[in-house]
Amino acid sequence: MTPRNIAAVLAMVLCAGPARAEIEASLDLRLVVSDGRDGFLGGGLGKLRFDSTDEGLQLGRARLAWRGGIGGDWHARIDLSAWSLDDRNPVDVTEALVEWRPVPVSAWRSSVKIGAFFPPISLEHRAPGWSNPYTLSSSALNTWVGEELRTIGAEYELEYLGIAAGGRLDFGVHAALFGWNDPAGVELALRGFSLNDRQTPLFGRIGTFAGGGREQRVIFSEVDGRPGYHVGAYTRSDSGFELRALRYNNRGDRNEFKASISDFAWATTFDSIGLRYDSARGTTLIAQQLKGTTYASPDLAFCWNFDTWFVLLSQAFGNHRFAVRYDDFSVLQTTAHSPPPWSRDVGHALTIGWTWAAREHMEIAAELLRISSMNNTRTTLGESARAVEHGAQLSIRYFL
Amino acid sequence: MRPVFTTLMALMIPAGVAAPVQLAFVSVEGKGIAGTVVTLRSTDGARAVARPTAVVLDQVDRQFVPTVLVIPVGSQVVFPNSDSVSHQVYSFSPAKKFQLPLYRGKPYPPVLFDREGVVTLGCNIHDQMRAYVYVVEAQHFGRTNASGTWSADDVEPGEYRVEIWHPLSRVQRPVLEQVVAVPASGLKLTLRAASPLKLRSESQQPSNWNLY
Repeated sequence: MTPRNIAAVLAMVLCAGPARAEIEASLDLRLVVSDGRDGFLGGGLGKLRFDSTDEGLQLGRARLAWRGGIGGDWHARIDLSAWSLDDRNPVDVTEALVEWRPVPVSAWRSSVKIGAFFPPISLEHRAPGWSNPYTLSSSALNTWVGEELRTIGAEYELEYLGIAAGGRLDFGVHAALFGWNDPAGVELALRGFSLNDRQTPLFGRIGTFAGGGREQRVIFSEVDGRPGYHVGAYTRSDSGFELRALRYNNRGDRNEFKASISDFAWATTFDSIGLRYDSARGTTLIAQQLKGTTYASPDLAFCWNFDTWFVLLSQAFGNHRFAVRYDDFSVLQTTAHSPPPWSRDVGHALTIGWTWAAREHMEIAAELLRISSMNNTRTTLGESARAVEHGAQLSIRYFL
Repeated sequence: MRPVFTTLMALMIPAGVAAPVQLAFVSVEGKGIAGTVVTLRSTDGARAVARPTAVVLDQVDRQFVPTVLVIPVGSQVVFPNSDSVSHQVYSFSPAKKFQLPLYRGKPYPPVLFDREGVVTLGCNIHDQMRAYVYVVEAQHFGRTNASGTWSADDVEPGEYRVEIWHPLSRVQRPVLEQVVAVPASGLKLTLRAASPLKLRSESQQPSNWNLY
């Protein structure tokens, strides 16, 4: 998508409902110190977004979003971001959707989303633009959600707003049908998990490791003409607990190959579960786990199991918020033509974050991240399989 | 016998005399409970109740301000939106069902609350926003301070039904009701909860947190 197209789309949506339109814009600049291996964005198997060659001032994210009512009970939203000037499209769309969300006249509320948006998995991403208010880098689990998952289709949700009705619990169930997510899983299989804050835009690419060199993978593409689905449920208590579960299956037909993106449909299925607790005193606890399998090509040798979990604890003190998170991840190839060892990517990470809402339109954040991992594909690059990488970032963010 | 006595006593007192009343509401353990809503309703049906007022309930940093409002029946509430984002205020509580379509800045005309009861307010865009409007038909009402005490110095002597309700008590009706006599010399009373009051924790993100 060219900047001109984006301007046209934006102009179109801006005209749709100027009376109730909202614009959000932000600019996030980073000061980076890193000893990371050659990063995945440049074709390496380092796990950090900013590797040792990226030290200094970097663009974290520039974002422009519009949302507003477009008539009746319909709202629309479009989110544009720039992550790096080296990306295929320096400015691209991360989410674009219309939502039907009538005001509840009883405790039951139905809503429908149509477009491209994140599946409801992350309990970390509670700030605008699907961003993480706790740490600059997201958990391995939700990094993967941001990199490889998008619901490009429709989602229906039915909720019971029990707390507003005087009860103790809200609950909801949702189901979605989607397409254009057939390559989901390729990053995990070929690179493994990462901890970063990038979201793959709808028309963008992720630099990924494949066959010893850099290859730009298309993530959002329809390969087999077969829709995938996800179904899930949540419950929330008036005492601050939230529990979420989701089952995802992109129903990839791994016999199907698409030449234009040189990739198969990856058959990816997973289950995800998460618990969140917010106390009245500013304490937040988040624990999530995601576990699944991905296959590519008709050859059953190309099968990987992935499993990741994290626990995050955060405490707010006035305008300051501190967070600490422990991540654990593994991607294991389960079969292959050659004898073991097969491809494996296992590791754990510790993240310490601080965020300070310094002024009305300015936020300062810092993070220390240590990732210890073993990825035996690194040996094909002449590196040791085991790596301990550190990254420190200082962020200054201005927003409207 | 006692109510009759107090009623007789009240009748003997000339109208227009104001007595001070101080009510404390404490837990089973005797600890004062802040934020409790206290209403004093005369058992004499002929006495005039508090007159309707016009009140503002704002929306700031994706929260209602205040989160609890106690108003007499017939009052009007205006809902400005001081946020930079739009809100869509609604209630489906039996005491008042209404909605204000998506808006920002300039408020809609005031909303009339013409029935007694608890009205739970929500925002259809920001589910974490919640507020309670307690609509009362009574002579005196208010909320207890940090030490769990509420006071008024202009209570006409007589017999009153005291109702105690807490917005975080998970019930939509008073948690304690008691008839008391207010003599001309005033009344100082401590009411103790009959059973442990399980108050929900209103977990809210910090107000400057830039939520959806």
